Amino acid sequence: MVSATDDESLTARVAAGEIAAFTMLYERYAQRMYAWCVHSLGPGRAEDAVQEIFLRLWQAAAQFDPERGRFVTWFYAIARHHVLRELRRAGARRRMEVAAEIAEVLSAPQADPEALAGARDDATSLARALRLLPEEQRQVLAMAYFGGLSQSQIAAELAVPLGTVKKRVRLGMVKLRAALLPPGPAVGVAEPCANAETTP
Amino acid sequence: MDHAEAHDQLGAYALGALEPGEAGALREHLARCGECRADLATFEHVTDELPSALAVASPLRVHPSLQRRIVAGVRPRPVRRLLPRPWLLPAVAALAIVLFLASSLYALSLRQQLAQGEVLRQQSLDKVRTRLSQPDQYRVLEVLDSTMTNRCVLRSVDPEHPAAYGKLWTRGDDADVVVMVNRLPQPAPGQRYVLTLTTADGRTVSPGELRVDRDGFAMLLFAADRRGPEYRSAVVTLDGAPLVRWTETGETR
Repeated sequence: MVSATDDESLTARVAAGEIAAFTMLYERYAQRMYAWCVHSLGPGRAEDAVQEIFLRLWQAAAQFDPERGRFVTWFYAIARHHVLRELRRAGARRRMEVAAEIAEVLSAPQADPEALAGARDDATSLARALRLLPEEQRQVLAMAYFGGLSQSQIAAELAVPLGTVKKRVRLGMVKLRAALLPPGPAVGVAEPCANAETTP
Repeated sequence: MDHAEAHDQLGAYALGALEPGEAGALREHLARCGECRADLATFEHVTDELPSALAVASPLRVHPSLQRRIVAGVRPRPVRRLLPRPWLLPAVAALAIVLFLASSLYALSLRQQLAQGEVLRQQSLDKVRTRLSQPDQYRVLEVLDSTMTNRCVLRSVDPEHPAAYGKLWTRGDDADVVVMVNRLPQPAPGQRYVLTLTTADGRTVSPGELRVDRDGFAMLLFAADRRGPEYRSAVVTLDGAPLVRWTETGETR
């Protein structure tokens, strides 16, 4: 039975104007949004950005269609669009700096895993897997997701062949995915070892 | 794009790291490949958790006061009751009846046109939902629904297909551009619909091919080379022959 407090149900209640549901979603996602915004936009703009993202959630909740995907995918798309739009104003160099800073944060030991309200095992598993990734794979994933750069742009910025970037992205994502799979027999793509990367 | 190539690109697609052309080709493959759709879901699970992983790794914590500020910001304003003075009530009631009748007649006369327009809008919305990923749907929504949105209407210039039309949306503070074209004739094998734009500084750019579905609908979402792109003209051609066109002297609002 689906709980009435799952993200999707709460979003339907937010669409109906229910402040309590909105508050529950805020408590569930505020820390994630803040960490994202503060590392991307800096402490001076992070709170305003979080406020704008949650305001957009309030305004757009009725447009969320649970049959098309999960709430978290939709909400992070809103957040990412907002953060990247702000970042683009700061220029390409700043996007690179942000991606590098986030890659560094992701490489450090976890600050306080218990501090994230509602943190699921998946988040801590993924944080651990990111920390264990080879630096060059963690770097391109951060540049793509948090910096909003395409593989071609990453290749140009790093001055490496596009094929190398594609390989780093693919290997990195396969490893992260493996970290989220339940324990059991290996399935899917065979995963080369971390040091197997070669430049095509 | 063949299966092996598509399969290799799924992680990059989930990250939003493909070029628009690559993403479009992958979406076409996804529409017909259940295996890749299932694999994509596993990669999207990764991207769904990336901000959470960053929050776990980050030592920075959100200040509790932000919650009060944000919740206060979205609290709906209470509806004010505007009660007229008692001696005005009969006049207000009469005025309300007149306005109601007038608006009903007006609504009746517009209903047919609006219904037709609504059907077309709903069809376009359905196309957006079925053809784009949720992140791209959101990009489209952000361009179409803002106070800084500009819309240009492309009208048919082909007497044989007068119903063909299109719209181009830009946004003053964003680089994303959305183009939708409808009621296009089906291209013959080997023929291609191409969108060509003339920028405000006189350059000609071609963001790509418009792939028409069986209903004659085509859509393109791309990022311009700057925020708030401005264009002088937009034209959709079929093998070089213009079908629909907009110029800055035409309709735009």
